[in-house]
Amino acid sequence: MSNNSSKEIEDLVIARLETLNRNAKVLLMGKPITVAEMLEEVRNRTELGKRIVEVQFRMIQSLSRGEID
Amino acid sequence: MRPRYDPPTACMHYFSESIIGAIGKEYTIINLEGPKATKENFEKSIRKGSPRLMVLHGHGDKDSIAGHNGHIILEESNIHLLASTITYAVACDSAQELGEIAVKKGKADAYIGYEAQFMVVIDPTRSSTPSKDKNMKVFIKPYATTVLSLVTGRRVKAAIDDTRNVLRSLIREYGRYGVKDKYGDAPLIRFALYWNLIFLKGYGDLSSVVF
Repeated sequence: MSNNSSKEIEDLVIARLETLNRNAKVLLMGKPITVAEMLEEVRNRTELGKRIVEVQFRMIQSLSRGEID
Repeated sequence: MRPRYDPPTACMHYFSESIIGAIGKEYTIINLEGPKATKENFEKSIRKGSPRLMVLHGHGDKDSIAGHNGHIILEESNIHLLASTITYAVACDSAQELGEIAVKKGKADAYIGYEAQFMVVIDPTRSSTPSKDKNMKVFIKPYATTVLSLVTGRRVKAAIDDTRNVLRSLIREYGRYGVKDKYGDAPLIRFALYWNLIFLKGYGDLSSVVF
């Protein structure tokens, strides 16, 4: 995957996360985290942030292929 | 193994009530909950009770699972305790390495776990009372499906497939227009369900059965 397309995917995921309720909270089996904090993880390219991008992108692909919708 | 000392462990403790309620009368359950979820009790109960199926909750990382107050109860040094068992671990990242170690070194028949943090969406206004949290309740069904499939004689692979099917069905349900979604959390719930779907993994002999 090129740097350009990685950046595009990251931007796409950020755009999707920005549509969510920023105060909604996810309980990871490690710590509670809000959507706003998830966005920060993505923007800071932490390990968790990279994982969120990967999963969101795979979900978008699955949805577009009609695998889960 | 059901520690309960912080919000994530309280959530899983609540989830497992549904399992105990469903199968507690038919099967003998060794219930190490709250402060009883210690390494000493864990090891003693396995030696004494020789359970065929182990359901473990708690914090974890790629090579260990923790019990009460975050103290490690399972790691490579005592992995032999899983010999000839089927284990379902809901603990962060534990499937990443511990699953392989459990099967190869510990001689477990099979190990089901998550290769990342198990994810649950919560209603922040209800986070101290899991039983009133409608967001959290969505995640009970797929969790319970794994255990109930196993105890009803389904093979490990079938139990994983059953769980994935329930997750897919819930993802579809939460994508429908008109789903009950007071706080607009449905898209996040779908994401969390999808997260759990792709990180759920089985190791070892997936044709194993509990009974």
